[in-house]
Amino acid sequence: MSGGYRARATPVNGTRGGPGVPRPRRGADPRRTLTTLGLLTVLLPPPATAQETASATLPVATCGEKRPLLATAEALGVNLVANRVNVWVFEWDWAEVGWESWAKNLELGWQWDKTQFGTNMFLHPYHGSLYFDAGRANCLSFWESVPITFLGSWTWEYLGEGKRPALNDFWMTGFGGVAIGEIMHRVSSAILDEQATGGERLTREIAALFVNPMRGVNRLVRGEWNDRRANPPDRLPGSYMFRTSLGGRTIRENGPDARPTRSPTLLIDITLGDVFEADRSSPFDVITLLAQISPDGGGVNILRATGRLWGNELTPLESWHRHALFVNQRFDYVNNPAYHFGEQSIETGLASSWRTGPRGLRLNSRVAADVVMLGAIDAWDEFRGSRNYSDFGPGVGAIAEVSLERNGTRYLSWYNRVRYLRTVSGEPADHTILFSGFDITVPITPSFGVGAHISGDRRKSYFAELDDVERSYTETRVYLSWIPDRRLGAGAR
Amino acid sequence: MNRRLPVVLATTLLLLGASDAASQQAARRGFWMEAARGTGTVRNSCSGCDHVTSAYGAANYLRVGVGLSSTPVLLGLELFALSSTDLALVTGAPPVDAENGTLGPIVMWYFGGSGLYLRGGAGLSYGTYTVRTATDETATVERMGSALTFGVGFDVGLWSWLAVTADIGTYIASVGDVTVDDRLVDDIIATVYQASVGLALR
Repeated sequence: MSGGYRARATPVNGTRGGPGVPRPRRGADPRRTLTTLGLLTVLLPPPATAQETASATLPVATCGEKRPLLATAEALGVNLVANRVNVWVFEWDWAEVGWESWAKNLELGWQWDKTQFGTNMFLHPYHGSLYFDAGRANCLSFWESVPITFLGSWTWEYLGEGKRPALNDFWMTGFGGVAIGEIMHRVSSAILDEQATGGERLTREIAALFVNPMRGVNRLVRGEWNDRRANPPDRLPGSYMFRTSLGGRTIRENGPDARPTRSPTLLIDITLGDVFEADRSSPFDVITLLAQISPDGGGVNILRATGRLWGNELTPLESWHRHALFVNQRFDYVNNPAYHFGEQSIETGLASSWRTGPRGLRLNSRVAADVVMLGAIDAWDEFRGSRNYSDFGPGVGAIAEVSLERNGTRYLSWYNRVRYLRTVSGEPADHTILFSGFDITVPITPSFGVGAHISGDRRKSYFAELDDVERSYTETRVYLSWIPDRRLGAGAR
Repeated sequence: MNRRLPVVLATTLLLLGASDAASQQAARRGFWMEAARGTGTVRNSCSGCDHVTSAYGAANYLRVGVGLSSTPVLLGLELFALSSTDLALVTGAPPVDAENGTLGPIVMWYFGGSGLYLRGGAGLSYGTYTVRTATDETATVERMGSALTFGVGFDVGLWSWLAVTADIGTYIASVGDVTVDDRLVDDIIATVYQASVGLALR
């Protein structure tokens, strides 16, 4: 990959290596190239280059026939493998299942699983993404893969675990699996290059396998790791950005006796699609993903993802101020030494962008209201005397964000998010959480920059039968950022 | 409540024989709304409970929504309720009159080019429990929580703008803690199974 902070003037609908802009490749047969070029010179003005024409003669990589039965079998196979690994390798009691546990689970039904926040709110959604991507890897559409996700989740809860099925696990595996699964599907599409050969091809296939295991395994079994074809037209969206940052992080709970926790941190920031330019023909055509990985505090500390379900552009492309309505599915997971919080929500709002100067400086804003379908927050368990439990419940929220950007580089940004959760499990309580943060990035070269982040989170919990709780936290980060690849849409230039 | 079941089934079978011409337009398009009535059962589970309690009741729902162009997918908003009597929230507890309901967005996916659809949704749930006290007075407890729903159904077109819909499905409604007659029932989750027949304006 190449590129950097400087925008590349690529057509909005053109794709690197796609039919619109065929990617030059080494090793093309010169006789075939010349013959094809001769034919195209006569038939298709303007003439293509020899190498482009060679690529254009490759068959386009289409997924092929839908295989719903195989997708379902793979999803159930994931459960079988996960169960057996937990029995044979880890020897967990909860994984011992049989007729007795199945009959008991079917009879007694749902309950809440209030322990193991990281497992419930991160690993379960990841598990669900395997079900979803079993569908996507077998050529099912987004909507066709959703029932398979919930089927996989239901069978795991009732049949894959010996303990009673947990409603919050079923919820997170299902909705979280759809969100993460579709994001991983699209990110792996961007990584894969059907025209690459040799070491680059192998590297891309392995990277895609890591991001989307179900797709990688299906491609390997079908012999597609070496199959040279033209890339599909929807491989890359009209605009995208991959950014990674490496630095240090400090987090502390505010209070007289609080001690800060310091650790290195890795941030991965991915944007696929543009809210002002995507074609709105399919769910998740606009995706944002932010992941923070730090060794202290459970590995993955933050995973925030949104996928657009619906959108409507309100202004023309050439306007100096742009506005678009959106409805997003949202996934939030925060698990650090100071606190944990997670949610599945639907947000709806208005995205705006104002061109403020001659050099492409833009002021962007985003305001949205959220319905939290199910949220989780760390809670005090009076009987066990521990804070390693979670309260679950629905809620509402709001988001306001402002950023100053030029050619896609975000120099300054500020966000403010507020959440209200009402507990339906554990101690009856109302929780309010306020998240605020500020980022600054200074470019050093077209591809590298330095940045800093400071955020403060404050929560208040009003318990029906216990004393109210108020806590606050501060997190700071300093980092080097690198943008290995990106493409700007016409509206951002 | 069981007396309604034969009526529901007979109506469904009758409408399945509607004219082919009218059912040419299998799926709903554009703005649509639907109202239905049927029967169902609610099963109450709770944390630490060794048994599940259940009761039959009358089910009703109202849906409004829009169809997405270029896909066989409908988005909608659904209000569902099941009213039951003589429901013991936990074994040995005094019976209550209960209403379990949900409100939230749903997705309906028509497949196979027919009127057959799968649906799913998530939103808010509510539970209202009314108990008669020893002095023959009534006390009502209301709770809210999160809800999920899944189901399958079939549209039979009568005219291009009207269809009859048969729908079966489940609603999982978390309610939370409920205290009835000084007895705490911890973390109630009500699972409703229902079968309904309704009319859809499309």
